[in-house]
Amino acid sequence: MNWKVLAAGLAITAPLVAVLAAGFGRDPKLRSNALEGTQAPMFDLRTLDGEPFSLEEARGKPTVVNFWSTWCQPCKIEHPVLMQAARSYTPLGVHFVAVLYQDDAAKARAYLQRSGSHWPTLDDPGGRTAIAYGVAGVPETFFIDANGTIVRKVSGPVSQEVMVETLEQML
Amino acid sequence: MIGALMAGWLFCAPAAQAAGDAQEFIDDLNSVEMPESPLEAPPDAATAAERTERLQTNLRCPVCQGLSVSDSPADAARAMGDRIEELVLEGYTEEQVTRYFVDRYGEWVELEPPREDHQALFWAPVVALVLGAGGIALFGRRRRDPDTGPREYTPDPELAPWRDRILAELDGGT
Repeated sequence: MNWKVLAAGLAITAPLVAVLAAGFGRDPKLRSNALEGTQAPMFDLRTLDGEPFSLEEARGKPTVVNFWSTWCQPCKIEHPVLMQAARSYTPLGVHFVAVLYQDDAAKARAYLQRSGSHWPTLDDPGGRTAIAYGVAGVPETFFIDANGTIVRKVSGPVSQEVMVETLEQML
Repeated sequence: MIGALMAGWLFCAPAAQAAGDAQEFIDDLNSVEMPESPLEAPPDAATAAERTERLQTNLRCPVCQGLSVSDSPADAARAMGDRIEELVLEGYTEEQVTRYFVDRYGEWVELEPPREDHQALFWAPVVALVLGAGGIALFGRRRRDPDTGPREYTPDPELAPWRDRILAELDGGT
């Protein structure tokens, strides 16, 4: 075997393989969960009924912030999970709040009247709050602990298991 | 909705108070905490437009495939573009605005993210190839032709009879 040729080949291919391996190690489409572990951005919005809501008032209690819209099918799949969680954990001191994403308030009101909800749904004109939370699609759910720290961000519908596990960790 | 609420409110309000109070009313309805204050005073309109356009071109639409905020017709991109403009008008620098979005969406949100150190390794094989090819060209030629000067010619004495015969034939014209 020609060791010099082998060494030259390795010298050329090894860095290429290393770069490709580093690239394959992460999904370029995977969005960052950079906000996990940071303080949740506080916001002041109005509910679909026009009532003022401030996240600051929820500080001191675990809070679930769910971004959703009526045109989002996975949001509808997730809705019963939120309903059950809100029913079970609101009495234990957990706050649930939903933020409407790129949607019409009237449609959302109609949907919630049909499907029910046990939490305030907020209008987010201009999407400032969604941008502040780095929302890139719905549903996205942020679990905020009593200190106001985002402990978990879930992109896509939250399963019952993840919901319960996360809420139990926060309590 | 904002427009309708504002229009309704302005209809009832004294005209003199309209502008300032309307802004306060909107801010009260829809405000979100910023991680830091603007580093600069609000820029003039031309500078703001220039900065906004540059940022909207350099930042990626969060719901698109490879489109900048300025190139995308999506609602989310429009909202992001409006937010960029708002932040620029408030005096946030381009670096602050970029960092604000990177902190939320990750480096992915930049259409041309900053290069990482390990990416320099990508050029190592190219450099090795160029150096290798140059080395082979240089040393290969030298091996075949170690002396680049004129060759010294020393006639081999054992071949002298053959050479003399050939020269004699040439002289004789046969």
